[in-house]
Amino acid sequence: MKKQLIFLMVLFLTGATAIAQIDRSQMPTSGPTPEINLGKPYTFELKNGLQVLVVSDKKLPTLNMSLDLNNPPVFEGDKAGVQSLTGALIGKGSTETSKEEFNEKVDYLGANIFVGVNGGFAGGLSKYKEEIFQLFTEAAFKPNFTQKELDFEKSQAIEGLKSGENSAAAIAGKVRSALVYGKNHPAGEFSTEETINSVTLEDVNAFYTNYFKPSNGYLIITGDIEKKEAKKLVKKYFGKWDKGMAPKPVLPELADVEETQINLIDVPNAVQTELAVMSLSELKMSDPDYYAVLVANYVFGGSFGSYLNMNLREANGYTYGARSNIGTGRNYKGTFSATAKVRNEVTDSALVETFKELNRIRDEYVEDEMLSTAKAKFLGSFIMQSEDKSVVASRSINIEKNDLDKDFYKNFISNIDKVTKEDVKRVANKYLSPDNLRIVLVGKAADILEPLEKMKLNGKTVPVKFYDKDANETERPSTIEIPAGLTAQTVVDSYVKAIGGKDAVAAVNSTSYFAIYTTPQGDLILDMKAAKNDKLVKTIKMAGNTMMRQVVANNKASVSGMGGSQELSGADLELAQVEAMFIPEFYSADKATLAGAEMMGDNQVYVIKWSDNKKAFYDVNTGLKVAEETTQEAQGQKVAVMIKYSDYKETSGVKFPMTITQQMMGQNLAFKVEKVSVNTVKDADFK
Amino acid sequence: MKKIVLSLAVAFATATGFAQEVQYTEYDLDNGLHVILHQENGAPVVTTGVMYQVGAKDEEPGRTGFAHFFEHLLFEGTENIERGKWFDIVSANGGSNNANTTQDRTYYYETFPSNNLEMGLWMESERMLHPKIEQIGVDTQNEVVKEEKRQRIDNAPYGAIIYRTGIDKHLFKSHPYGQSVIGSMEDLNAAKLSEFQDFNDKYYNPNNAVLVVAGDIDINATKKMIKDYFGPIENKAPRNVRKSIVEQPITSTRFATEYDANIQIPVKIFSYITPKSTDRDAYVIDYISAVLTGGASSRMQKRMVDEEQIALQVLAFGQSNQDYGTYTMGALAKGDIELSKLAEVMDEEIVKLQTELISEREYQKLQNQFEAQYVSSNSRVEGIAASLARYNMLMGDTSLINQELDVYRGITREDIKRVANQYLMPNQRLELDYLAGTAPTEEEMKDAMDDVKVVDNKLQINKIYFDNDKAVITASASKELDRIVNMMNKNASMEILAETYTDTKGSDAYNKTLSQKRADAVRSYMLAKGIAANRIKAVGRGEENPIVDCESKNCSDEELEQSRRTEFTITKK
Repeated sequence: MKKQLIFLMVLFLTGATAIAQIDRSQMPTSGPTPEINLGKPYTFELKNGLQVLVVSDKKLPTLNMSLDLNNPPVFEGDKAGVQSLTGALIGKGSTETSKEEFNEKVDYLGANIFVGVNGGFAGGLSKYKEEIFQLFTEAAFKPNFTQKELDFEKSQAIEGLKSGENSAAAIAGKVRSALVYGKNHPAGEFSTEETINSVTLEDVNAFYTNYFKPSNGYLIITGDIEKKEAKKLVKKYFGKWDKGMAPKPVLPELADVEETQINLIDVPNAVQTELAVMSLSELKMSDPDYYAVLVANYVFGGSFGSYLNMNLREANGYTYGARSNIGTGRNYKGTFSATAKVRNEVTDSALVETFKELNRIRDEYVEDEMLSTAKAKFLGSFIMQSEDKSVVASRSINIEKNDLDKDFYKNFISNIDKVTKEDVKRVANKYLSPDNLRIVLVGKAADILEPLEKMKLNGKTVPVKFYDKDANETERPSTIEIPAGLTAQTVVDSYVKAIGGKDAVAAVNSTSYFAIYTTPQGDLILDMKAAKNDKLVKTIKMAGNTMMRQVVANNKASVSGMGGSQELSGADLELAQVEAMFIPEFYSADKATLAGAEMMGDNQVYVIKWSDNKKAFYDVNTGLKVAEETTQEAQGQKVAVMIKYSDYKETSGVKFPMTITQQMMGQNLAFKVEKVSVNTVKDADFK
Repeated sequence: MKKIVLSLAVAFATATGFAQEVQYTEYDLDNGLHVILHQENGAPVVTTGVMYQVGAKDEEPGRTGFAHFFEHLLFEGTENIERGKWFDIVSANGGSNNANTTQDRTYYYETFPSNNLEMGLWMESERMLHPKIEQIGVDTQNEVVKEEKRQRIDNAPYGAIIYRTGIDKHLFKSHPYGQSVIGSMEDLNAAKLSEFQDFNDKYYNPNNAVLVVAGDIDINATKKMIKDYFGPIENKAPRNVRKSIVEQPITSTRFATEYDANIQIPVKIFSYITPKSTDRDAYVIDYISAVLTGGASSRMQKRMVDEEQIALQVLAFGQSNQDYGTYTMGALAKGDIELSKLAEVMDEEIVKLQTELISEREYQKLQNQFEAQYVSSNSRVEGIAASLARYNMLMGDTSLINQELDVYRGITREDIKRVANQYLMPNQRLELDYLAGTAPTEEEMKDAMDDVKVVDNKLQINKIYFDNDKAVITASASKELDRIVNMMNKNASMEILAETYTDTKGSDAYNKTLSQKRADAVRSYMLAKGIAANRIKAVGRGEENPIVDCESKNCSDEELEQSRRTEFTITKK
């Protein structure tokens, strides 16, 4: 009986829980939004102008302070690196304490102390607060700049530069801002071995004297400390600092590119492309648009669930993550950027998809659900930031630095809440223009370039410019891998084989071409005779008149035309002789060097350099010579002239091109070869 | 999002000092789910986390990377959370979330404003109860994980050091710690949907998990919600009981070279196998690491970077896992300094620790440094949540969160010296040259391999060993045999004799038969590689000519192994 009762009770209890069971198919609803009351920091100003903010928080027995000098941007120019070198030297001991001793003292307390040119921070156990104040200010105000330490920091900095030379990410970090801001702007410049080496001890001293000034600055103290004690310590250790402000620079004007373009930096070892789509941003934190832009960015690429990441990562698996940011400017314009690391093969596709999403946020209203998600996320982050009590101090500094309304953070959430889908669309159109974007790609050109050249964004192909790792414009890199073991000899041999083989070519002692290009004004005739020992006579006639006749034979060359005749000498003679090389692939193969491989039209070609001013191009598949390029100096400028060969046909056992396309007077003239004959040329022809 | 835990993170993650004890309550649900609650109402923030006792070391052979990949899959959706909506829900409730996988465990968490605690519990219970594991998710995450690998390791300078893919494989030969958490893409490509579903059923059960809730909560209300959401979840398998896998200690120095095309400056690395995380000596290793590289006044930093200026940077990190730890130290060469010079100096610094006690002042510095680290390590509830779960699941004792500092305090200067001698001898380590550039190609390696030296018509190759009682060609043996095949291909008329010997264990007759089997295995291997049958003769010699005479003394396994060998003689050139 008893047993039964218990059994019944158990039944009853389980029944009760069953009834109370939650319905897990329904997402739980949120409780009331928690209140946050961060209070205000205790604030005072020193006579030297330094603003001090104290936030007392006793959760942990620690103390942190951070000094922000709020310096304006500095253009370093040919001394690029002086700022970071000065920073590296401050905080390493003082005129009173050696570096070694200083480091040991800091470590002994288990503290962290960092002093740089823009301020610094210190943190440690609050029981050592006086020592932390003392060490931080000793290092900050009595730096010990010596030649020995400067040399050491320079060598570290130079090695540091070297360490990033092959890293696509490091290169991207450098060139993105160099390209967007220009290297003549504080935000675009970077240091090089040369600029680092040019920094002297005087430069460092001068930099410190000019820029380590309190009157614009802020000092935040947080942690286990009473206001009064903080004020006493600050006065004791920062009170004697002489007032002063860092000089303000004149900054160059910034402008976006005229039309959207790709800037490609070839890093052959890269297995992923560092992709960035960038432009300047006019936005300031004090703009009424600020809140709408935050939301627009969140929707476009500012979050995991954003258009960009959902497309590139979740729908396509192109990347581990794609994000965007619309920066705000204070001293100079910020930037909009959308970035991702994508695998080489999908670089073009990732760009196409990025532009699709750009159009989407400009053309379509954001869905209500996405909009409210974005707002909730800002609310949540805002609440969660309150876990760090010092946030109240950094927020009040932000208000001052950015000229914000004093209730900026008080009203932040309500301002975010006011953003409508119309606002989002409007600011997307205002701040995200697809027509003036700089697409900076750092990756392996051999894998990514050709698809990019064919790619269309919004219906247009995009011009590609090439830059080196230091953001200098450079030539188009080779995109074809040369097989291991392939040499110039292989290329010329396969050419000889392709036109008929060694025996057939050996039997050719001379060639004679007669080719015509028909123009409305009459036929243009190209008459070209060549023979062993590098003899050549080339005549161009128009309507029966000889426009030009060039003869190369016996170490001499001359050009004659309508205006008379001229013997060539010097560089002109050399060039003429190079041009006259008779079947160089057979007779002068030793002069060939393999210069690379590239695309010519749709075909891959090997490039053979015959001399500094002559290159020839051989089709990778057929082995045939498809073009020659000579470079001439004319009025101090280098002019490249390209002759293309096509429609190879056989005559006397050897193949000759039946179409010769020559650049003349800015036009491509395709001469049809009417007649080729072998071994018909006489010595007298070269007179 | 979702990352492999960076192993650079120093092993002593959390625990507060004396003054700020982390209060918590813990209990089990009927289904075995272990629950840990930490109440802290200072800020309206709460973290919900679930740690599962499954990590990379639980992977089946041929399925490296599976555990981490699976972690990605568990964000795809559940019966009640539509595919692709996971992150939206978290964001729409103002939260953030992530997950990470290590060798030993997988951890998922959400941090929300505290009015959304129930949301966090609902989501994690959904994930535990009925995740949707579908082909579409497998296909997408496959690509994402490949990009993650490229980003973190292949395209990242020093990626193979930071993520240990270039280190652990040389340290661990039998323990799965030798395989990387991110694993091989080939293995992941080969994995089938049903394997993922089986993996879920096997490991993602309440009895194999710890749920932790930390932050602005009410204990009783939280307990009730946990019971509602997690109580009804049934186990599909018993708790994951791991069999212990023993890694033989390293007894002679291992040398290795790794290449990294993303770098310019080479690194010299020493890496050691150290005790598991619960072993007191693991804490001593943390002290040693701090003596060498903790702070600007640490020994290696001061000597190698500042004074002698032979290193651009020095590094050291310990990682203590459930079964073993590792300790890795290294230096980036400055200028033209040879890696051997760095090795020499690092070795001197270790010898110093092995022969001299550290100074009293240095010892006090260590104590202060560890106290400071402790005190500040529990400043966020997100960190406290992860630590509570870790101490409970991986170290078997949640209270360590409040006690670890005492363990550190109890370490003596003599302990440091003893541990340096016990674990950091030169013959116990891997010496790794981490170089800029790309590894030599297979062809280049082949060319290097081709040079088989011949002395008195005997081929001088690395010994071909057979496992005890086996007649199977091992991977290392096949490499050597390939060299011989190569050589015979080049010298078309060459003929050889392969003679195979056994050790002296077992009967003569048995050994004779075994050795003939082994000789035949060698011969068949070479025939399979295209050598004509008439060019190789294979003879089993049994116990003849042992390398070490084991009849007159008791031989160690190593000595016995030396006798199990095959010799090759050229019989016709």
